[in-house]
Amino acid sequence: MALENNYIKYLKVSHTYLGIFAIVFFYISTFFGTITVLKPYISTWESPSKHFKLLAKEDINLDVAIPIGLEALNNPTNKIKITLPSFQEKSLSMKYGFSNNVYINPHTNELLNTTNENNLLSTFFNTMHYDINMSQSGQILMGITSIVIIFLTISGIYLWLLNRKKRKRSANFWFRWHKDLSLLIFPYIIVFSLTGAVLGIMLFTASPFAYSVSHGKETNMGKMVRPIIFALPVKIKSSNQPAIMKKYSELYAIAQENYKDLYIRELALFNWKDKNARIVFSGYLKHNRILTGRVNRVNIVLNGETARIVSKRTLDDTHEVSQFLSAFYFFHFMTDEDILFRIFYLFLGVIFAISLVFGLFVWIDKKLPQNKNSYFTIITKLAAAFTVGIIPATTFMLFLYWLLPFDIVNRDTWIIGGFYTMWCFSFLQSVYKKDVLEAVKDFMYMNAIFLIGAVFLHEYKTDMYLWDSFNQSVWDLFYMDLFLLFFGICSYLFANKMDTIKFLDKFKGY
Amino acid sequence: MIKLFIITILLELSLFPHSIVFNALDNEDGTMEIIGMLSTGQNTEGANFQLISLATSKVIYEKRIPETGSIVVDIPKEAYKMVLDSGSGHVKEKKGEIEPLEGFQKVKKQNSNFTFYIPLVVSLLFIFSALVLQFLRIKKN
Amino acid sequence: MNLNTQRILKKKKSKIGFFHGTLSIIGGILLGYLIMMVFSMYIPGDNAIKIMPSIIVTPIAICIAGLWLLFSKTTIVCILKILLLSIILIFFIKVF
Repeated sequence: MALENNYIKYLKVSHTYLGIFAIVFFYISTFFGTITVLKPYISTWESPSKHFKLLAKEDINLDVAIPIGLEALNNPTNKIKITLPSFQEKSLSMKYGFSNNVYINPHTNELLNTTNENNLLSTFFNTMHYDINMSQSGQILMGITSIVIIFLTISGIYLWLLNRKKRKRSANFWFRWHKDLSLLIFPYIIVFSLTGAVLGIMLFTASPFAYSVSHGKETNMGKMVRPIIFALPVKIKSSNQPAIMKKYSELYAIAQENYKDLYIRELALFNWKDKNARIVFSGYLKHNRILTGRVNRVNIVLNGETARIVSKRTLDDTHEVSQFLSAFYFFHFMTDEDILFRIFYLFLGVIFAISLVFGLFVWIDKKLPQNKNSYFTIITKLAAAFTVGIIPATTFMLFLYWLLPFDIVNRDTWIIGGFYTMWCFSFLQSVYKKDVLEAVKDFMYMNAIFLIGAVFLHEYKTDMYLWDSFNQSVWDLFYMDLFLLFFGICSYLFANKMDTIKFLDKFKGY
Repeated sequence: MIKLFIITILLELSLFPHSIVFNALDNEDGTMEIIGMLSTGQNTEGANFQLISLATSKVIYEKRIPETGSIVVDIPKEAYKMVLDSGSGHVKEKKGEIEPLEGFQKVKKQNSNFTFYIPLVVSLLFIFSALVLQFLRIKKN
Repeated sequence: MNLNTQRILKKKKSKIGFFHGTLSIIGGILLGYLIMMVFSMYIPGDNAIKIMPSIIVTPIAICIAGLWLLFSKTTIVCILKILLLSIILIFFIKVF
């Protein structure tokens, strides 16, 4: 695979400079994306009303819980959506049309008071991941960065293949680890950069394909594709003849009996209490979660009065493109996957973040000797604050979340403002401490204080200590508190022992 | 061809993130009609619509969009903004452009939102101090 | 075209110039989209089958087109590559 020397130089230079561009945005996306893997558990941790054990679907009394929710929504009769409890949302949630959700405790069948709960932390981390809090322009920027990462992957692999013939092991530590870690998690990088590119920018810029396929007649891709892959159910009009509906539990049992492989996640009610009432039980196939993900759910529809099966949507009834998209998005969102899969992704995310940082250090290491006393030195300080300083800034948010009273004005602004302020403060700290390692030590001490403080405040304010969550089997809360505590203690020990770790000598002088 | 390419890339709506829009139409009798819909043409039944005073941030009017997809409301006497909450954190805001026949009444502004500016100013101060410190250090060397 | 411009465009470079780099990026995006627009016209099936795979493959096409443009000895070769391929692809889109 010979290539001209000039072209190899072009490849290296383009990989370097596009890499620097990409790392600024993709590191943030990777950092918060890795945290977002734990979104369901963070959401429970920050919502005191949801500090209860996950109830199995079979134990929920739908006949009591659903009418309570309907009453809270002022008794609508159409387009009602009921989401059954799962590890993602432990309460029974209900809405109609575009209303806000109401939440019901499945143990006590009481309405949950979620006045001061708006999933601030989990939403903020997710938003930072896909658009750095900059709405659509941020999302497009992230999409562009994802395309750059695809280029970096292709160019990186190309350079690696070109170099393999020489079989010469590079002396540069940063380069070796950047290359080895990236090659190790190559499938992970490709999956996330490709899905990121599609979700971030490609769906917004798909009109050229609509134009070419329709021979210039249509430019709205949604209009051309939506009716095919999201085939809307036939609208059944209300007959205006009132009817008595069967019990929800009875309808649920009939649906499950007639579609054994369906794992029911949601119920939808249409024309309720009418002769033409429909109840749709939708979810994924227990033995095929990949192809029946969020964008390709299967369902069974019953008549609300007679419990007659109106229709049944199986995998064969779904379009191939929907199945493909379900699989495509599965590896990015893993919507229905529980803790094991998520921990695996967390681990890969950390490796990728380290690989990105080492890639940056390859460039810094090359440039710094020639620019020892110039303005270039600010880059290392900035890199330390940007990559490591973001950790105490994030944990400061967790600390502030439980420190600030829930009823103060503009609470969200204070917490998010605290994040940015602490991040900027970490930059000042890394400049103030001449050695970057000293600054990192401070970051780790701060991290420990914020994490241990956050866990303590959370337990004190919700009156749900570790032993309580253990005894009441609220496992997500228990493990979340334990994990944060463990991470805090590790940060403290790491900061204490930093001087003795030989590996960190590599960072001296930056 | 290229122009169409660029314009359609910048303006066209996409497959999954269909956007919610709402408009206010002046009925010229002191009322206005609020219509909420998805970019696909479906109405936003159930979404919570509010009129909020710009001066006091108080909710002047609140109602859920019904099955018809529109509601008729009295035009507020003071400057206002319209907010449509379509659930799952999707909130759209618009400044109220339609004025009553006699114009807006002046209401004393309360609770200026300093909260946003405090962390912003402090963050900028930190960044500025860091840059100055490093600059002075380089000059010294 | 004056002598200076000619010299810049035809000069064999040992470094990527800013102009060549930018051209590779913009040209890569343009050619990537045009290639997939032509592909989407010929994929057999309904609109969803024609359009969705193109959306997913386009980022890879952009990167490969960008690489191809990057590997140009002179800037004028890069410009010619973009022009030639664009004209052929636009011809396919407009005529068929």
